[in-house]
Formats: sequence, structure tokens, C-alpha cells
Amino acid sequence: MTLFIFRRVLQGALVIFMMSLVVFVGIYQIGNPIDILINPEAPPRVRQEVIERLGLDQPLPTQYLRFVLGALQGDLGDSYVYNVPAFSLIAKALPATLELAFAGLLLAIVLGVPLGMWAGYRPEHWSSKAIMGVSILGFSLPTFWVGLMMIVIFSVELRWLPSGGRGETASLFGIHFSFLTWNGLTHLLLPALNLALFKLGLVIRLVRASMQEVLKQDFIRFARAKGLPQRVVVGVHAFRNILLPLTTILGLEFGSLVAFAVVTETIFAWPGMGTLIIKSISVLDRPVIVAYLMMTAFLFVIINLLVDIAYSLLDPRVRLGEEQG
Amino acid sequence: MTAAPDITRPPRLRRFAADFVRSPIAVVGLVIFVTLCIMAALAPLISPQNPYDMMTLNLMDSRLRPGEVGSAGYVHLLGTDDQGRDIWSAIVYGLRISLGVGLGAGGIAAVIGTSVGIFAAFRGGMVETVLMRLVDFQLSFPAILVALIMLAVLGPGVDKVIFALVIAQWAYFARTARSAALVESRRDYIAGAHSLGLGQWRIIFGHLLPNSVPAVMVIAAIQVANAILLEATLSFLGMGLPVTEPSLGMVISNGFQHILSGRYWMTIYPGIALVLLVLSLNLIGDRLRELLDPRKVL
Repeated sequence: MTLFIFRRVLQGALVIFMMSLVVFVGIYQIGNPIDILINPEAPPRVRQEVIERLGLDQPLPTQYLRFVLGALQGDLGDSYVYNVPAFSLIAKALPATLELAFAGLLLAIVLGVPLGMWAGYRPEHWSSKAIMGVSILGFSLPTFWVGLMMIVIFSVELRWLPSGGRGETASLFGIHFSFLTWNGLTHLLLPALNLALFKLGLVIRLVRASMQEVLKQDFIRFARAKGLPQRVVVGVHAFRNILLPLTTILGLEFGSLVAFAVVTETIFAWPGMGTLIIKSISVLDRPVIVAYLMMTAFLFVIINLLVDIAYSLLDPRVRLGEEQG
Repeated sequence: MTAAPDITRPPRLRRFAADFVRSPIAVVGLVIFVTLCIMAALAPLISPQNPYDMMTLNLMDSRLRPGEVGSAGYVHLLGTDDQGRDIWSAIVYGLRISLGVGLGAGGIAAVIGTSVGIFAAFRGGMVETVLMRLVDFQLSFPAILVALIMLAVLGPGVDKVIFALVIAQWAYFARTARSAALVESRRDYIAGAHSLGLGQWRIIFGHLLPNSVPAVMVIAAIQVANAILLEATLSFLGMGLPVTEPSLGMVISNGFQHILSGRYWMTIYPGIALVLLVLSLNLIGDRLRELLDPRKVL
């Protein structure tokens, strides 16, 4: 087990290193931040001073080395626009994004698992076919457009829910969350639902497929033969065996929810990492772009690692296969 | 199954078409898709104005409701935007760009991904391991993030958007093509081809590729749909195509600022066009999967 985790951590570190190289060299190619940062009428002396202070006169490898040395100490450079450490900007926006992504994931599970189980339990029933139809629709609807339509219906026409922002937040362990106040919850509902719809089709299809697979197994026939009531067979025996594939996929999908939150945050003016990165890209705030991408890569590596470990704990074959191989 | 492909292919294709139309919903998808393609191809003929020719726009006509008659004397079926642009015309021209970018990016990604996948399966060994590690590495990041990174680095432009979409999607094709080719390469006819002394390129192009195509086709329809969605999303975020090449995503994005003031038609109608386009492709892809699922062929 230790060897397994060690190898995975090593692989993760390699991924982050590759990512830093790609991102840094890539970002280095675009535009000239000096044109944005300094008044074009500034005297050349001031220009030169700023270029030197930011280290932009150094060759690329030197700049990269400085970046890596800084990054290892938790310093990803200062934002050109806000003049504060890029890392602190991202860290301040992170809780809002995580809150949104968790809420979206929760809604997708709460709605998707029962629907998928039913569709797998009674595949020929008309309602199951309707559920499958809805899941194709879920794949085809552009998330951003659905978000706009939600605003039109629930905010503009019905005036039930607010169209944007985080609303009131309350603090828990020093971090501000929306879900702790009623007003915040009303602000969270629409964006979370918007994000959940993006994954709902996937959850339904996955649960349905696993359900059909599990119901064919011997232990289900055995449980039925023992005379256990249907709800115990489905709700306990089948359900537990659906959890394994679901955990893996949802773990991986959580990352994509965080990435996709860029879209939802833009529509609902949710002050998270997504809004920050879009703003930073439009003004070429290099340190913030690099910091965001590095943080996201890091998040993904951690998620993949946790999923791998959880999987090897739940299913020893994975671990054993790896050690033999 | 292993008879010479020249004899079996024509009836197989015809049988395939007959199987395909047996699902009414897939036929609906196909009809919608073909209709939208024709609309896009005939854009200048079926729209009253060229929405991006500034000379034909009249600010007097801005924000007309659907059905109102503008200063040029014709009815704006779906209303106009804040620059007096006819929404119907914007949709038809937008379809052109969305379809073009989606098919272009999906097609290039399919060619590159399939080549890599089949090459990896054929070569095996270190080449395969390295290529597939790369594929795994890329697939562990969501496509939108990959495309966003690429565009942050490359900047806007039609060629750059297509490039970013290809980078974001080739790995899906590579993985599918490799597993299909792996299955094929273990079959007797490939062993037979080897023992006949056929060259490796002849085996790859003459035997492995044609027999791996069905598996690739299944994901191709769905990946083109994804490319169109992805491009629309990126354009909506202002990271995609330049303003001079407005896709459906950008038309929707233009209407975004007006929804709070109740002018929905600027976002609803282009959105419906986009949904129909993506949905029709997904319906076709779903039917293809039912018919060509490699697991069923085995």
C-alpha cells in the first residue's frame, strides 16, 4: 500500500512539474504585460525600472527558475492589477467556488441516483424511457444557456430567486459561506442547480448501467430467493454495489465541476475563482493566470490521488494488480 | 465476418442504413441535423440581411420585438438586437460558423487521434505506453479547462479556437481507436496478413484502420456535438472567436446583457438553434452507439 501511494504521489508531482512548464512557457508567449501595466506616456526610465523590478528583462529559463523557487515557498508572484500576492487572490476566491461545486455535486447525486436506480430497475417502463430522454437532453443543453433561461424564468418573470451574487454570507472557521444564511441559500440555489444539470445526465446513465449490471449478479438472486423484501434487495444490496463506480466517477467529476464553474460563475456573477480567471485573462494578469492554472492542476492531482487510494481500499484487485505489474 | 471486405461492404452499408432508420427518434435527429446544415449552407439566400455588414444595419431598428417591421420594410421574425441586427439572420449565419468550427475541429481531432491510437496499438511496447500515458494525462483534465488554457495562451482567432478544440479532443479518439485496433489486431485475419508477409503500412491502412472505423464513428458524432458546445461556451465567455466571426455562442452572449430588461428574444432563439444542433448530433450518435457498439459486435 505504501509503495502504491508513493508511486502515485511521484506521478502527481511529475504532472504538476509538466503543467508548470507548459503554463509558464505558454503564458510567456502572449502579449506584453508592460503595455498594460504602464502608462504609454511614462518616461523610458520608469519603464525600464518596472521591467527590471518584475524581472521581465531576464531570459526565459531564469524567469522560470525564479518562478519555481518562489512557488515552492508558496509565492506565485504579485498580481499586476491588484498588486497583492496572486496566491492570496485565488485563496480568497476558492471557498466560493468549492461551495458552489459541492452544492452542484450534491444536487446531481440527490436527483440523479434515485432516477438512475429506477431506470435501471425497470428499464422497459415508460417513465424510465422518459428519464433516459431527459438525460440525453442534459448532455445537449448548453449549460450557459440553461443558466440564462433560469434567470429569465425564476428571477425576471417569477421574481422568486435573485439573479446573481452570493448574498449574505456567514462565517464558519473564519471562511465565509452562503449556505449558512437564508438569503445566501437563495443566491446559491440557481447556480448550484445550473451546475448540477451539467452532471445529472452522466449520474443517471452511470447509475442505471451499474444497476442493470448488479441486478444480474448471483447474490441478488440469492437475496430474493431468501425472501427478502424488494426494497431491501434494491435499497441495500444493489445500492451498496453501485457506490463503487459512483465514487470513482464523482471524484473525478468534482474536478470538472470546479473547472466548469467558470461558466456558471460568469452567468450568476458568483465571486469565485472562475470570475477571477476570466477577468485576469482579459487584462493579461500573468501571475494570476499562472497561479490559477497551477492551483487547478494541484487540485486535480490531489483529487485523482484520493480517488485512486479510495478505489484501492474498496477494491483490492486494483492495488494487487499494480504491485504485481 | 472475415470475408473480403469488397464483397460484404455494400450490403452491409445498406443494411446499416435500414437499421438506422428503424429508430424514429434517430431519424428525427438526422432530419433536424440535415435541415440545419442546409440552412447554414444557404444562409445568404434565406436571411433578409447580412447581419455583419454594417451598411445594412440601422440603429433605428434596434431592439424590435419579434414580428415587428423594421425600416427596411420586412418583418423581423425573431426581433432585432441592440444594433438593429435581425436575429433570424444572425442565427443562420451563426449556424454556419458553429457548424464549420465544430466539424472542422472534430474532423481534425478524429484524424489525429485515430492515427495515434492505431499506431500505438500496432507498435505496442514503449511507444504505446508513452502515448497512452499522455492520453491518460490529458483526459484527467476536463476538455473545457484544456481549451481555456490553450486560448489563454494563444489568444482569439478562428484557427486558434479550432487548434484548442483539437488539442482538447484528440485524446478521446486516440483512446477509442487504440482499444478498437487492439481487439482487431488479435484477430486471425491480422495474423494471416502478417504471415502473408504484407507490409506494416498495408496492414494498418488496409485492415486495422477500416475495421476500427465503426468504433471511432460512434464517438465522432458525439465529439462534434461537444466541440460545438465547447466553442459556444468559450465564445460566450469572450475567449473564443473574434467579433467578426460570430458563432451562435457569441449571438447568445450579445443578448446576455439584455435579459434582465426583459428582451429575451436575443438569447432564447439563438439558444434554441444551438440546442437543436447539438441534440440532433447526440441523437444520431446515440443510435450509432446502439448499432455499432464494439462490445455487441464481439
